[in-house]
Amino acid sequence: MKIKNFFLNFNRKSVQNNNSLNHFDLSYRVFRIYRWNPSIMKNPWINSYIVSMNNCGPIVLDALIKIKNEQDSTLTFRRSCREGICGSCAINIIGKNTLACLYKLSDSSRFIHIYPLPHIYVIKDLVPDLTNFYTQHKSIQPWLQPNRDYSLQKEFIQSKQERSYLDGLYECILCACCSASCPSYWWNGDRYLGPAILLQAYRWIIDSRDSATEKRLGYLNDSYKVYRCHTIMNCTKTCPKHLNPGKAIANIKILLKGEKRESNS
Amino acid sequence: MKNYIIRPIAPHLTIYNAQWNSVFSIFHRISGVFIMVFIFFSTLGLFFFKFYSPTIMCVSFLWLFNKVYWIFISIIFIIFMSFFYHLCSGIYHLLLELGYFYHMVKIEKMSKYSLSFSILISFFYFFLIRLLFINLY
Repeated sequence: MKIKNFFLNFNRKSVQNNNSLNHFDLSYRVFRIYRWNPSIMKNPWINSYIVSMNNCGPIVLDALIKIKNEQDSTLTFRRSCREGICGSCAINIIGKNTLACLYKLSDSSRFIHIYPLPHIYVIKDLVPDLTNFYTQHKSIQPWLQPNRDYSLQKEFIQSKQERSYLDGLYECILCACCSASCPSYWWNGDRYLGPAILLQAYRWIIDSRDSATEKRLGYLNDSYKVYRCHTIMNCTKTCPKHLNPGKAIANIKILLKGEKRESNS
Repeated sequence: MKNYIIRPIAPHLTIYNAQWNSVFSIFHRISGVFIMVFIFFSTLGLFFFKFYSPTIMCVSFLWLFNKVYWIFISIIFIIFMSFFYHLCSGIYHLLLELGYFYHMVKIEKMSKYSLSFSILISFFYFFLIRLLFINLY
């Protein structure tokens, strides 16, 4: 009967067998989560939680909430939209920076290692301190600086092609997954801006409605702000929204060189 | 008495996956350092060992490494490999800076091509040098 079932289910997803405790049983998963509490004078440690998949949602965030509800209510993490659009739940899952609300449990193995975003100060458990990241975002002036001749009563005229240059740039949710995956940002996080911020800087540079392009490029023309990028390309690999910060940084370098490039292709 | 809390930095190298693109990039730097160290020590060695002709140099090296020929040959191969790897990945990085191949699939393809090309070239030069040694010996 077992052999017959094996051949019948060969091309289907594995049948859930909740009673057996054999080697291939995935009805439970073990979560190894990084913990640290500022009120306890102790070095960071790892807690293991065994979570049954019977009444758990399909994503890692559901499992974290289940752990918090049933096993350990002191577990701390950021979350908001549960659909991959706010960027709050950015953490490192099995060695890769993603959003907890987008990482499916069916994609992962039995042991799931969860760490906060790499090389960022930890406030508590899985909550990173992103104040440096936000300060750097503010420093690139992420707002439209149009020509002084523009009247505030009229709309900014932009052709379809000019609007298409922003595709792949405006979708960034500032989750910091890419910056936290860049080894250059690990070693020079105070001076190098990081892929996320540089993607946003490029978004404002190639916006046709913006007229402060030279000022923006002049701000970036430094040996640390852009040129710490060595095209390691961890950022593009890890982006949960499938954007390409590495390409945007290459385009910034080309613009800084002086060559005029119209599109972001 | 105040207790100051020193916040930890989240782990990075120990937990992050070693991806193909990051390993390729760091080996470019490692091979560069290795070649620089090799060139430095070989020029330093030339001051101490005075060779009057290339033949004497090759014969003396062969005499020194007679019993440990394979170690000598493998060191030579590693040096060739690192030099050509550094060259090929350097060209790859130059092309990347110019703006080509920026989709992940193309990047993985091109980096694998450059690695295989560097292995081929190093094998090719390696066997050429062996022929040279055999001719002299």
